[in-house]
Amino acid sequence: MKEIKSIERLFQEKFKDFEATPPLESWNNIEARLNKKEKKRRVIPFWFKSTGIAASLAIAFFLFMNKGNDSNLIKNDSKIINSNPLSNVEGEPEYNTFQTKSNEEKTIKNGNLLDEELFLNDNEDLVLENNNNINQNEKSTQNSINNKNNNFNERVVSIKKQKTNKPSVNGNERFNNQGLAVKNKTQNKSNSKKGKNLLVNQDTNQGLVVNNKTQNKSNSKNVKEFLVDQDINQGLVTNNNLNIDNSKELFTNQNSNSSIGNQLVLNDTEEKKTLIDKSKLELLNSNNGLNNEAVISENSSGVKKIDTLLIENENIIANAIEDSILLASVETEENPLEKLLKEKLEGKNVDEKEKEKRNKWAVSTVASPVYFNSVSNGSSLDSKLENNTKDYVSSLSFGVGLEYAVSKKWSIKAGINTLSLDYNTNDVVFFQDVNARMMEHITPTQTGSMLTVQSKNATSQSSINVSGTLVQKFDGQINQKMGYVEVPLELSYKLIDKKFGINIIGGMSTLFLNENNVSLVSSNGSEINIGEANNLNNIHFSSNVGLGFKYTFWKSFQANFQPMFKYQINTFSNDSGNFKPYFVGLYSGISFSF
Amino acid sequence: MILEQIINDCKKGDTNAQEQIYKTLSPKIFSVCLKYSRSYEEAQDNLQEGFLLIFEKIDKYNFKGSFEGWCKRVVINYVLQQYRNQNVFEIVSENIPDNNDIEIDDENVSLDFLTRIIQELPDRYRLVFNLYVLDGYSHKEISEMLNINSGTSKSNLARAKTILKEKIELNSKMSIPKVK
Repeated sequence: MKEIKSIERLFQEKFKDFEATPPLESWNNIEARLNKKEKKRRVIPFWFKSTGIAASLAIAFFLFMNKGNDSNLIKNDSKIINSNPLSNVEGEPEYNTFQTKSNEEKTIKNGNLLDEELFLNDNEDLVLENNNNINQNEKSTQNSINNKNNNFNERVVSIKKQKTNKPSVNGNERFNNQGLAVKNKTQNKSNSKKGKNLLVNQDTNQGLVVNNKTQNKSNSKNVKEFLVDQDINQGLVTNNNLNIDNSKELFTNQNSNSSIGNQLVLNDTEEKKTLIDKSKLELLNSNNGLNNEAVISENSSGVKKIDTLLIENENIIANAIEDSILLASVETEENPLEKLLKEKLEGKNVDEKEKEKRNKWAVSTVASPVYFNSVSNGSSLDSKLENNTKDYVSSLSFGVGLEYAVSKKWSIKAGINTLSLDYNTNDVVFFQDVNARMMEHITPTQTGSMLTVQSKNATSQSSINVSGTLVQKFDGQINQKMGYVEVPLELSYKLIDKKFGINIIGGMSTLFLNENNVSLVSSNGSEINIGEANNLNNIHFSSNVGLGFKYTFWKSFQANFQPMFKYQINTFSNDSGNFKPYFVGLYSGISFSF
Repeated sequence: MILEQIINDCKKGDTNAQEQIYKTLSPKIFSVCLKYSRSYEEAQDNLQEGFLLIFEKIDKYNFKGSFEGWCKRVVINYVLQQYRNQNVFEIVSENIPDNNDIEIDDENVSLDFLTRIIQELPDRYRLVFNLYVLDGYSHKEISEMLNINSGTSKSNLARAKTILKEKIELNSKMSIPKVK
């Protein structure tokens, strides 16, 4: 179909919706160029970023290392408790403290059992007998368990036997014999001694734990009425009975734990460490029955006061019951405790992390013009110069500072600055004199000692001195220079903390005198050093208040400007001649925070 | 709104936003490049440079007028700059043929063909033709943009049209036998 069209219309119509998809590589080229441009544009900041990252990594690394060590220690400790009680208990004070803490509850429960060991030792024989009874009971009821117990006994013995020089050897042997071979004999022995008790014991063994408990409680009320043997037997039987009940489930656990008990007992006899003692007691308590067997092997000096022992025994029994109940849930109970501990530690970690985030150090350089002045018109040099006008020379102070952000708002700042104060006392005359009289508070140099300096107003116009000779008097001014090393310690509170920040600063500076010079400047410009002030303190203080302005111009770089007012507190040792100097510094500088 | 967001991201130098803008606008921009350039390859170059310029200058886009129009102008200006300083042999023709009407067969005149004959025009003619006919600039504007006087612009346009007409007619003649 042919049309007549103007060429313009033809093109306009055709190109109206003209779109052409560019080749794919175009974008790739553009992207590549864009990246290049970006890199070019950000060369310096990028470099800084990487150093920043490197620095923070280094810091983080060190912090992590420290923290990591700590937590590892603790982790190891908890592992010791759970899985490796046999191997690590002995020489680890950390473990002991740790366990003491974690088992506080238990300790409280068993707090009245500190003499338990004594008791156990003292009643060795009785316990042995009891043990045999129990063994018998076990034999009749639970052979397998008994076997295990025997095995355990053997183990205990083997452990003990390694320490052959111990008095406990005897006990071990006896125990061993009793536990394995000579049961009948010992049983007979015990029977012949306490047949009644055996009966009672057997009864209680057959009966319920609760019965024993109540019986024991009643016993404790009337301790003295009961036979000592019987009571103890009952108590221990109860313990053992309970242990037998639990031994099925917890046998391995008990074995290991009571072995700990053994080791710890040995330890204790050797070293008498209180910490170990505590943890040992806990272990003993939690495994009372088997521990009794184990502790039996400890040889003791003999039977002691029975009355007290009775009471103790009662306590032990009660606790043993509680503990053996505890034992049943030992594993589940340790875990929550551990959890608590872990939580505690984690809590600490969180705190530390928060601290780290807050940890903001900043180093800064400062330079400041210092405007020196005095609130009064006195003179520290000579009281006669009080009314002379004074020119205060502004000087420069510069130094470095270190700032630490204690919290979001508060930070402590310390630093070191040089500071020189300089002022002139005008309108003085000085002249050479045989009987020269220097100013009050000046230790003169040799030149100085030949000069008399007076206030212009005070001197008579006569040029004739005492001796009648004509003297030449010079007009001039006194220049006093004091140089200090200033160590400011300031606290600052941030009012605004954005890109632009304002804070209030207050604090004090310690100033160490390092330059002290007084000179005369004659009106024709010549300067003579005449001495040094003798009333300047070597160390003095100033109280500082000021405002701080900061502007973060680049990342962690800030420009600071701090007008500070510093009032000198004890510049002069004695007579300051009503001279109360202060200075104003306009501290400006750059700080870098990290 | 979404475009606005993308543009803002783009201003921050977000590469994803840049890519999105490229994907949205590149067909339009490439068509412009094709019209204004001597060849496909040159159009491609101009497209790349044009987009780089767009991303560079996107800060200056203040959301007045369509973004597409702004981008087009950026690219056109870039292309013009490339040819502005080139001396084109100026044909001063006082006899501008007025009869621009041509007889065309729609089906025979493809967009590709038209693009090609535009690209084949001398630079100045092509620019003037594009600016005036396809992008609606006035002779006055063109004269400013190209730094020529408006008379030159008009004559350039006329010459361009004549050339194009000849080419189209030639093309029709050549293609008729094929169709038959």
